[in-house]
Amino acid sequence: MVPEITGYWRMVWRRFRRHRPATVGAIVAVGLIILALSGPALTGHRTDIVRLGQVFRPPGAGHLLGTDELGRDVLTRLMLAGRVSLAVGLVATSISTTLGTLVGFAAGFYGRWLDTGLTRLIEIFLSIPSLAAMFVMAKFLGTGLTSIIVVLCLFGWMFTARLVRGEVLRIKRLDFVDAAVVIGASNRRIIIHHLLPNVLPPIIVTLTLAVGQAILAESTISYFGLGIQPPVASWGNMLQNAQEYLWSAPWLAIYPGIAILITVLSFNFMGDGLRDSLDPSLKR
Amino acid sequence: MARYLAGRLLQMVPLLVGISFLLFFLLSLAPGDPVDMFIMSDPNVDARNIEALKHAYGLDQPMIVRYVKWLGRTVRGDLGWSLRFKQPVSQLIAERLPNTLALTMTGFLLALMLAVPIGIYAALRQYSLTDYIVSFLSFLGFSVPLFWFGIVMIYIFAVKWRLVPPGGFQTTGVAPGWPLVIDRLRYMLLPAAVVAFYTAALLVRYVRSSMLEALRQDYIRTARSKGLRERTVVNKHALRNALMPLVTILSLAIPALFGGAPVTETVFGWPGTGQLLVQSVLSGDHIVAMAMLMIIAVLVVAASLAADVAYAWLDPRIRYE
Repeated sequence: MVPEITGYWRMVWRRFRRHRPATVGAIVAVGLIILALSGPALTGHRTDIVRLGQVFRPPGAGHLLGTDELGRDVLTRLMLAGRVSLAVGLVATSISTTLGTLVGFAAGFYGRWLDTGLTRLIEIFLSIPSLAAMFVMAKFLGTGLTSIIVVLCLFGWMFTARLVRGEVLRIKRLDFVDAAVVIGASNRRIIIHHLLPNVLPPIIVTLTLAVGQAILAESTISYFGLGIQPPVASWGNMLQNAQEYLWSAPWLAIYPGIAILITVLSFNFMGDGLRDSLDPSLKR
Repeated sequence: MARYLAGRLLQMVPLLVGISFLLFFLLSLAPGDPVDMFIMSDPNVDARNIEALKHAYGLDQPMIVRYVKWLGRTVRGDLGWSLRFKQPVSQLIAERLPNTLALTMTGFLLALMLAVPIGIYAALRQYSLTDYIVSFLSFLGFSVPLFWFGIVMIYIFAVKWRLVPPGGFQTTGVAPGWPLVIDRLRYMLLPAAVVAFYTAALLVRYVRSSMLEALRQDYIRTARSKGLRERTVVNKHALRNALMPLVTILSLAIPALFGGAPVTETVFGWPGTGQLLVQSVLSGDHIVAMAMLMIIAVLVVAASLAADVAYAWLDPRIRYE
């Protein structure tokens, strides 16, 4: 059993490295995380003080991406915002994917009334317009890092739950699970050693794709003024006032969006590559 | 089939009750009710008057009581009254629906006209340069933050090149008739392009993958070995089957047609239902928000039923009993 599993993951790794967009995506994502973490240490600008003599400097020497309406360096703020946006995206998707996996297992494995109830709940959450619901929830929970993460988790778990439930229902019927039941394996053992390893590949794919979705959702919520609040920067709230200055300082609108686009794109390419490399039925 | 339909329609009832309860509960959590919003414009209102107003609108009652009352009214077709706009909600939505339909239907039609031929072309030349470019553009389409894409379009086409207005709906004082139509079209160009690009990015992937799937089938090999021309094989045998999943995708898009494009409409100041939803949520006009959310939810549930029925109708292998 053991060598086969390592063989599978080795094959996945080999395929992933050969998938050009996915490797580029992975390298870019790691690079973005390093850039975000280095922040002011790299650019040498402080963003916690207002410099009225330096407002709206266009991109150029000294300020590579210009300065904003308070004279703060846009590049430095972009890096600091990256910490927030990436952290929100990664933490929120980790939690919501775990939650979705638990719900999916509960519904798919135990079945009966629990399945009926949880399936209805999944259906309800899938049918409501999630963006507006996120706005409502963000208004209730207030602003800040924790509440935006809670909002994203609350309306992000059901996709994984639906997927995991379906997979568990499918795999549960296979012979090797029956065999495990016959030799007296406990439910716990069946779930952890027999079902989970088989459900894991699609979960990894959705997790990767969900990071991009979460970053997009966070930026949209913050753009509408309900997410992360200034002076803490996030890519979304940097764009909040940008439309006002579109005539005089278009760089304020352009760069945060490019940061979001590159990040989401890199996670989506990674997810796409993982889907191809995790699928054992594909030969290449 | 009739039994299946009846069963599905019956199942919709508890689902919609569940959805409406969840939405009502969420909205009741959010701070600010219509009266709070109402008195914000007049800070000198007497506290007793506020109490009286809240009592008059029934806002001092517990959530569950208000929900049951709301449900009773809504089932009878009364969507309520917006304090912000001082209009019945149904009238408010009816006023904005034509604007939204004009925008979303133009966007969807453009998206279809782009996505179907491009998706088929990419599938027929899998792993070609064109295929890679199409894939990349499609990834770009659903990785881009829509509100930012809107802002960039405004910057390029309205600020820099001054080809179209930066937002809004129509110029005041335009003569009716053709000048008005052309004026409206100028305003609609950018938001419709944003809707079209985003929708096409999603559609093209479906078209491409379902065309690839169809081309892999045995009947394609059979058709080719019969000596049919490649054109006939592609158009008659592959395309017909490849477009079937598209019917599902399109019927699932119906809610978006009516619900509008909340983000795009807000960025461009387009007075549609999507903008109405965003504004009413942000300003605490919960009656309007609830009505809009519920209309979309009903459409989502109905569309998924319609998709299943359409699929069964088109695919003779599927039978519902």
